[in-house]
Amino acid sequence: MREHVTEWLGAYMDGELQGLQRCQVESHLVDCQTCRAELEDLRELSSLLHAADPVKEFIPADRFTAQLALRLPRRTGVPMQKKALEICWWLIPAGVLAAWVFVQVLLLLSGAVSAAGQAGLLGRAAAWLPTGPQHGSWMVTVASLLDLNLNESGNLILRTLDQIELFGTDMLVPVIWQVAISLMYIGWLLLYWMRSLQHNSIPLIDQ
Amino acid sequence: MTFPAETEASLVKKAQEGDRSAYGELVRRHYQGVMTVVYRLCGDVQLAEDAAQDAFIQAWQHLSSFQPASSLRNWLYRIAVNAALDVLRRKPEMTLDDVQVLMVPDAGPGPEGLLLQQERLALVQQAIMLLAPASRTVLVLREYEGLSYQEIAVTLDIPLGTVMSRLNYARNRLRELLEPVMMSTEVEYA
Repeated sequence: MREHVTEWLGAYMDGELQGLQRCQVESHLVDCQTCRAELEDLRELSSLLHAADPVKEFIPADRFTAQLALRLPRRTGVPMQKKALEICWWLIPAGVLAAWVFVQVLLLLSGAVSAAGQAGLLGRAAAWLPTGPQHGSWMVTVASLLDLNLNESGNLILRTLDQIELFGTDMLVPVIWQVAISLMYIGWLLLYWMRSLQHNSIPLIDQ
Repeated sequence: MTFPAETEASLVKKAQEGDRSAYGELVRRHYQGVMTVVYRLCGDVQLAEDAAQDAFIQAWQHLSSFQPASSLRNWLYRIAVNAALDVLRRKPEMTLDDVQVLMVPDAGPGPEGLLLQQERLALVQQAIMLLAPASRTVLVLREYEGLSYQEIAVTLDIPLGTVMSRLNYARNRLRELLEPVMMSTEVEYA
């Protein structure tokens, strides 16, 4: 005799078992008198539970609703407040996206102006653009301390480090901006997800 | 004001905007289900009415946070379960000594038999009351409201496996408690 299926009988009776599990219980029931009796007991219990109909004892729905109407508190201002909160809620991602677009445009324009200036397309208007070799602040400090000429070919190592720093700074600034904006957006998505989880939930008193 | 053909979604929207008549119609539509749940959890009509009133008031207060895409009935049941358990907290708990009451006399024919039959049904309700609130809630939602295991899991925010184990526990306990009643019923029909 195979193992009894007692723990699945309730779910079987309720029509909650599907596919293979259902077939297993059914085939077991064909051979097992104990489980058949158990299932019969469960059905009997269910009919006993349903035999008592308390509906006739309840007050009519209309009377209940009328009594309830007297106890319902006012909800003044709630819809307006809710609408304002909803608008604020959707303004956050719109603001983040706008910031991202702004940063992208700024970086693009700055790159274009710099390239145009270097190509001499801006003429006199490019006078305010930094000209000649640029150096990192640490390099300028080191050079002034050691009394070095930054453009001398002998300071190859220092100049290489200087160029790496300048390149890093140029790359890092846009990356930091984009990472910060992405984090803000992901943060909003997370908050939105948590909010939607909590929305319909009213916590149960201990179960 | 009556809303004979109005859909539930439209009534919910109106009620969320503060329309008390629309909310009244929603209450009328869900009154029976909510009352059945709280009555089975409280075991007393008066307590059930108090719990149902509390539940509908709380639902009204939180209605703005209800998302129309989900089931209003299940949302109301969740609030109703809370309210019923809260009402029960304020009343002295039933003890296991009350199980003695479950000694059932045989029901014969005629008015006396009918009376005994009513007593028997009252005993069924008392046996339900002896279950732990967690198991009782799952049993009531399944047996009296016909919610699927999945719906119960969502309504009570518990795993599906927990629904099944609580239901099994509740049924086994009830079979123990109601053994005299079930045996007398068998004798009657034999």
